[in-house]
Amino acid sequence: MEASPATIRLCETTGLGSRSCADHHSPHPQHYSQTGHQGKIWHDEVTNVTVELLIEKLKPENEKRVEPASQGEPMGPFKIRAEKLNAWFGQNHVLKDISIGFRENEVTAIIGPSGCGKSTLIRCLNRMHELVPGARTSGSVFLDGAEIYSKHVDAVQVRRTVGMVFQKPNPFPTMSVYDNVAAGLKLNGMRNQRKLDEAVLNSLKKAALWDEVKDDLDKSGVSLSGGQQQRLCIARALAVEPKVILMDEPCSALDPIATAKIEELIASLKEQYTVVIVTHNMQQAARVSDRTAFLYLGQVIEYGETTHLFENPAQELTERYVTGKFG
Amino acid sequence: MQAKEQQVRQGSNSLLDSLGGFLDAAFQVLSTYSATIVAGVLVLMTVVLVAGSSPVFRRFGFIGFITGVNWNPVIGKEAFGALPYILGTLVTSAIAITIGVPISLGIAIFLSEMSPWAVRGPVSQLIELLAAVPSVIYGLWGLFVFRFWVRDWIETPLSTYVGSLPVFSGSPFGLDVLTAGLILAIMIIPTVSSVSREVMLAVPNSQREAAYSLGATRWEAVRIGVLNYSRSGIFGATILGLGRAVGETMAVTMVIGNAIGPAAIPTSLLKASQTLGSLIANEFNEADPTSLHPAALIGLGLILFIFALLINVLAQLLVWKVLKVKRGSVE
Ligand SMILES: Nc1ncnc2c1ncn2[C@@H]1O[C@H](COP(=O)(O)OP(=O)(O)O)[C@@H](O)[C@H]1O
Ligand SMILES: [Mg+2]
Repeated sequence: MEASPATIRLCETTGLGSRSCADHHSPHPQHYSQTGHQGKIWHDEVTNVTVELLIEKLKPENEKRVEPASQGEPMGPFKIRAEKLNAWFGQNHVLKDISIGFRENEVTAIIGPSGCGKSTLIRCLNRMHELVPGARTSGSVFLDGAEIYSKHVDAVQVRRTVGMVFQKPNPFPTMSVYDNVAAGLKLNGMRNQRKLDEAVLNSLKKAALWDEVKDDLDKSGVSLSGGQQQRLCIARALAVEPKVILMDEPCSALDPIATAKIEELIASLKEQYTVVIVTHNMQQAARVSDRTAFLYLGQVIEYGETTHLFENPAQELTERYVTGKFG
Repeated sequence: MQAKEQQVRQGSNSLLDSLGGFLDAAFQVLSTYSATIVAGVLVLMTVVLVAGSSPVFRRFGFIGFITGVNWNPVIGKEAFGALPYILGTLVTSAIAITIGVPISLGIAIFLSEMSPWAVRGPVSQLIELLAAVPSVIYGLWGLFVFRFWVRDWIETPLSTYVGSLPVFSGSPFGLDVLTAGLILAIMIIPTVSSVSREVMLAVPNSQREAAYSLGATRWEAVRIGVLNYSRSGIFGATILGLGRAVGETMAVTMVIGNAIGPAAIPTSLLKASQTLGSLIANEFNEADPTSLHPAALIGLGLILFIFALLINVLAQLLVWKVLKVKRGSVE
């Protein structure tokens, strides 16, 4: 009771809901020590996983494929890959030595309790993390084998290649449906009206929205329903022709029907893109993803094929999480 | 702790309770009266302005008054036309908006989007302090300092190189439409920049992130994420600035050169002119109460009052709409 006002204030300043606060500032000493105990157990296991991952990556055939892009060769298992990635918000060490790769033409889900760093992880993959005042990273992220945090790489360019869809649909409210989709292309300097028309059409089709809005392209983007707005945001992201699409809980603000549509869409997107989706809905992860990574307190606890991870988790902590015992 | 609270609750006896009830009622009555008084003052002002100016309208007609260009208070030769001063007001305000709004937007963007956190507070406060400077001080500074800068650095070059254009004709003197407009531009900066900053800060971060995620540079993110979103609020801020510029009297009176009649029609930036406010300020003291002169000045006041009222209502509506949207969209 005494401590709670301070906790709440702290959470407000970090822009977090009270729920994630409860996860971190649990006031009950009993609960706390329990967590600490578990932490000790899985900590060793984490190192195992990380080592396994590294070993896998160091396998000769994998290593060859993550070399910088050479023509004609398939880009190998990892389209985009983080290595020893650390991220901070000020003094808050949020991601701890994360090494993880995401494969092309697959959907990878990232699951974990809220506040564990899922959003931060994907925001490091397109250099959005560094936009937060006081935020920083260390380690590497390779996109097609090229380090995106290299001095010679422009973050703007990275974000064009690695698109993002956010938790809440965020179309530009003063723009029409058409202009929302065309916004990124116009930023890139495309002025040719015919090409713009074509790109808008294609993106809306890919986002499974064309049929619903083809007569309302001039209507405001925010006049659409929530699910349509989110697909509009997906179309907007697709229009700039990214290679990787990051989705941060894209359905958390949507109703079940809209969610089903987006899930269907995600399944179709993997034919062309590398898709990484953050979700704390485990059924969703099981439905849409090929692989799943379980994140806990800023570390990858387990990463593997989705069916395997859900049905036969290697780590006790993963099992406890996927069976809903905590989180 | 809870127990203590309980005690305090119980300790508060019925006398205090009923006193609280009385204070509540009294406060409600008081605030209702205050609100009524404010509205009453507004109505009363309108009545006084309309009644006070009616002689001049009866004599010249409403249209005749606002389209007339001559101004002669001498009894027997009376001529009262407000057009030059309406134009003077509009032109100086337009200059103020044209120069002042872009500067204000630059400041607002800097303060809400670009500047490091440590700079924001002090700079914002400094700018808001500008709003606290009495307008007569702006006038004095305009008359003794700024006027010469304008003359030497702006008007002389203009006159030398483009003096053949009608809008820049006349000799640089520094007490004219341009100086008045520039002083007004400076005076509206605090209002316009702080309101714009406010509406920009109200833009949800998800808008900036949407822009960045499409590969926007910092400036592009401001343009499509922030300026687009807050454009009606910025428009409101501009109108608020316009309201200030239209109504501002003292500083303008001191630097506009105070021309009268057809000479006051602002055909050139380098010409002395007059605004509605400045003419009232200049002539009210010497107006003969038995003549039409005071009625004519009150007529100018009525026009100014209508301008200011319309502008402010429009601005309030716009800003209010934006801030309401903001509250709705912050989860
Ligand atoms: N904008 C921010 N500023 C400061 N700290 C933040 C911010 N966003 C997130 N954090 C911190 O980073 C941690 C991880 O957050 P996040 O990546 O959003 O978790 P998740 O997406 O898994 O819920 C949280 O515990 C929170 O304290
Ligand atoms: Mg998140």
